[in-house]
Amino acid sequence: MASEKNRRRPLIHWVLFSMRMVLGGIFSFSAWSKIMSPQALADAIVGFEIIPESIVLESAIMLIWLELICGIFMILGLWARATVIVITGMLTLFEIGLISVVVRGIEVNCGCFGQFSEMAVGWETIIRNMVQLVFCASLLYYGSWKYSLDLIVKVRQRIKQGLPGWRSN
Amino acid sequence: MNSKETFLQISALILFACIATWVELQVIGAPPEIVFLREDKLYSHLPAEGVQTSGKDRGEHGSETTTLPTVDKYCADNKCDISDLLAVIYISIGTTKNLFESGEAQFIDARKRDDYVEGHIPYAINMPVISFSSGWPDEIQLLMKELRAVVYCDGLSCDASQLVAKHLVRYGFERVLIIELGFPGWEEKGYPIETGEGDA
Repeated sequence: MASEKNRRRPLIHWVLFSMRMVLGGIFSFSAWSKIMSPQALADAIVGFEIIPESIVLESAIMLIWLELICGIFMILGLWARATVIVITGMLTLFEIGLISVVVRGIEVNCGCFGQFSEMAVGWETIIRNMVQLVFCASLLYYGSWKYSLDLIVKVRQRIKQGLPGWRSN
Repeated sequence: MNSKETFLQISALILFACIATWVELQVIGAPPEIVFLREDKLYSHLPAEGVQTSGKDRGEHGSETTTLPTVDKYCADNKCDISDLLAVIYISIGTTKNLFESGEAQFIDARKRDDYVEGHIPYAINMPVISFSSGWPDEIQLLMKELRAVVYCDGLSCDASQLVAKHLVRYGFERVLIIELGFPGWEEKGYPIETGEGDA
């Protein structure tokens, strides 16, 4: 149903493509800014007072790698739907953490962009996250993966099977 | 795209991240452990071995105090020398006053800026935890590694001094101290207080 509507509204492909690039860019940049100093992110996470200190460093490193992998996959459009779901999960967890910090009145830097993040967690950070969640929801709902590796792979598979190309999907 | 395929891809993404995490931890190794101890004569009525639970005891004046092991006890139990450890030591107000008068220490206020401006130990530099979030704060250039670094916040109910102390140890300070009762303990004794922005 969504793909039927998409064919009649080509503009939405470009909007969704932009959202995909923005999300992929944000996550890739975020991971790149932290990858050389995971301890800094670990310290920021300690400030949130949510995760036990004994596993904070491991959690920080895992988060950085997940951000990087998802960011790159998102830009390339590889396993795009799965990547959006993982990113949605991460953003949801971040949002819960951010709201919890603001409500408890804890002054802490979110550590989102490593050395480039100087702002304390506040409502601006929460709203910024919400916008990204809206992007994810849009991508999942419309399911448009224009200019993605997934689409290229799908078309080639169909051609190999002797089926018509993507315009007939 | 079917759900099973999506589920497998999600699992694969998480697995890649786990593998990368494991590899990085093998490469960087475990960070050196920073040990928190208390000076030997701090509230001597407490047992030297500390208390097994995470609770806090009441000191002489009804204030809370730490139950960390003393330096001597820890070194005896672990057959080590204090010089081999990355240790942060909790000190009493009396020791703090001695260090203040001797000029052998530099004081770091780990509280928020507003609290620092309202009142702080004279010549203390304000470095709240958040100032370390984007790398080393500019104020750290004002510190000298030859002098002891004494960190304080609002006493045992406040974690800021511990977090700042860890950062200073990682920066390279060999012996970092924390005032156990914090600024409230200093103020209660009627010792000198400075207000305003200070030097930093």
